[in-house]
Amino acid sequence: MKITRSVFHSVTVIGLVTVACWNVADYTATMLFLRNSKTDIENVEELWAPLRDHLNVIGYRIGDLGFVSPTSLGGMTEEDKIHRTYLSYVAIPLNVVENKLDAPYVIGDFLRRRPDTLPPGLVEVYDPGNGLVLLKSARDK
Amino acid sequence: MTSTVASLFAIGFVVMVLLGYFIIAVVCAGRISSGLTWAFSPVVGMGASFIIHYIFRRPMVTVEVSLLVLLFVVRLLQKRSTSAQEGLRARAPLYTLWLAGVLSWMTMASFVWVAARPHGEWDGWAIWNAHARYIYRAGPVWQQHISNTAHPDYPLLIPLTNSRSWRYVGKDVPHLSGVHLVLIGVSGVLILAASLWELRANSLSLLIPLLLVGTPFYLMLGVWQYADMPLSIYILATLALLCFQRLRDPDGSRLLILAGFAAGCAASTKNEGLLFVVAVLLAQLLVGFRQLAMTIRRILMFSAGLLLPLVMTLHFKFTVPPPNDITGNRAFDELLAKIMDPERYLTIADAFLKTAGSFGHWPIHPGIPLLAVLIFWGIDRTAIRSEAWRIGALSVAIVLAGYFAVYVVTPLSLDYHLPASLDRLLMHVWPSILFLAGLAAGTRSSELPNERGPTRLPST
Repeated sequence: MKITRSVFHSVTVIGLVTVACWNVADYTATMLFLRNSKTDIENVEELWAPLRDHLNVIGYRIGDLGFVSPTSLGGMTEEDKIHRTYLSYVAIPLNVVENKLDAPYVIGDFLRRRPDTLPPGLVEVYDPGNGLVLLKSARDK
Repeated sequence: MTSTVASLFAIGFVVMVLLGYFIIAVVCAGRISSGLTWAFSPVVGMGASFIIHYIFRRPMVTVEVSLLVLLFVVRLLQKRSTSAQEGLRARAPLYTLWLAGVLSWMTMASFVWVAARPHGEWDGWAIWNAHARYIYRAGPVWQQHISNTAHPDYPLLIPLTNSRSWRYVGKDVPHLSGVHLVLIGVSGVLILAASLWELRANSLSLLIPLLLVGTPFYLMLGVWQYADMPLSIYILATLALLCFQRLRDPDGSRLLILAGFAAGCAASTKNEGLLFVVAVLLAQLLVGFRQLAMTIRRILMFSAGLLLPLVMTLHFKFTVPPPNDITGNRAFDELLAKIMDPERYLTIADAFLKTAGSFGHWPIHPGIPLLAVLIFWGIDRTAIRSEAWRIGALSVAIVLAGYFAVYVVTPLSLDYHLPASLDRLLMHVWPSILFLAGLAAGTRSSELPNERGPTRLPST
């Protein structure tokens, strides 16, 4: 009886260790198969860096930052929304607000295509050539 | 991450752990072993650092170091008059090495993952890291701007912890939040192992934590930089400290204060922590109802520990952000219609049952060997009749019932809300369930330690 119990105890211990290790192996495999490419956030952060540096130089470090894309004025697409969310994160502490064209500065998200004309009332301030363009109201120029 | 960044981060982490160590050592002088003190140090230190960073934004490092020196002096003076609680002298079995090896492996794997995904997953960057960035980058006006983020009402323990790491390093390096949370995840495993070892001193004390290490979602939540994993650890820490209080110092208040502090930190980590605070207070009241005067005294002491972190969180919630998306702008008629709809209860119950089998993202559910352990090792009836165990089990049950109730009245569609959150909510109580299972499992007579037996859980 005592031996039987001891065998059962050992079997449960082996089972417990096996299940834990199997799950550990699965976690390890997931980690090994991670794509080693940059994430979307890292890509947007890289695109944002020149604009951030420019805004720092001109002394605009906190406050609202408008956001326009070729399609945003006619209603944001899902892709626009996701991109604006990424930009909101990388631009902190600036507050990225969609279609706020009266903000001191506006980001033009022209990654997919650059519009033939800029949204009315906006002029280009700085274009690092990567698809994100810094704009501002023509009145403030 | 450069070696300078890594070194400065390590200094900040060590300061946090030491703060935790000396706070526990001073508050619980002689009532808790050195091993347990070290196990609980990172999470207690994280709570203390959160409070310091919230109150003293700028001279944060100065305040932390000054407090550390002060606590060190107090501890030195205390040491002359008190003798420390001896840890269990039983020889740790070979499983200790096994657990340490697996834990090290998983930690390294998680660090590799953090290196590949430094900003974490969606909620990690969109909520917790976005809050941290406002705190770090917006300077003294962060409170005016944090409302621009998603869920600005969420508590600040994790964002302030991240911001604190960046303050030590001098820049906001995104990897640090992930690295910090992986280390906190490790400390959760150590709390589970150290607590079970001190209370039971059997091989299961080291094998059950292995099941936590082997819960992929537990570590993934850290790598993703979500606050759910630290919340689960604060829940575990609270219940474990309540166990030690009932066993080691039933008439004392010091361990109760520390347990209350851990519960307060849970409330400062996620909104669900506020529900846990209510649950653990209610559980203490219900379990100790027959000794009402003693129970009320204990609850008051517990609340004293709870006070400081809870006040910080309530101050933030009442002064800064807009109302929560679950509780704000709700109409009574809409709530009543949802409460009276039996279909919702069935849908939620079904989701709870299905998710219970998968929330850890395991290839093999550890419930199977755990059940086998409880069947073949037997259940220690003395343990499950003890006040400490019943408080823990009842707290977990109330938390789960609370989550169920929130789903009943949620303004979000159940088709979206359940799959988006239920696995994380169940993870909140998973380490505590393992702890309670470890306490409930019987002990092999051959495994009783020879120098000082495990602390028995007295039944009431």
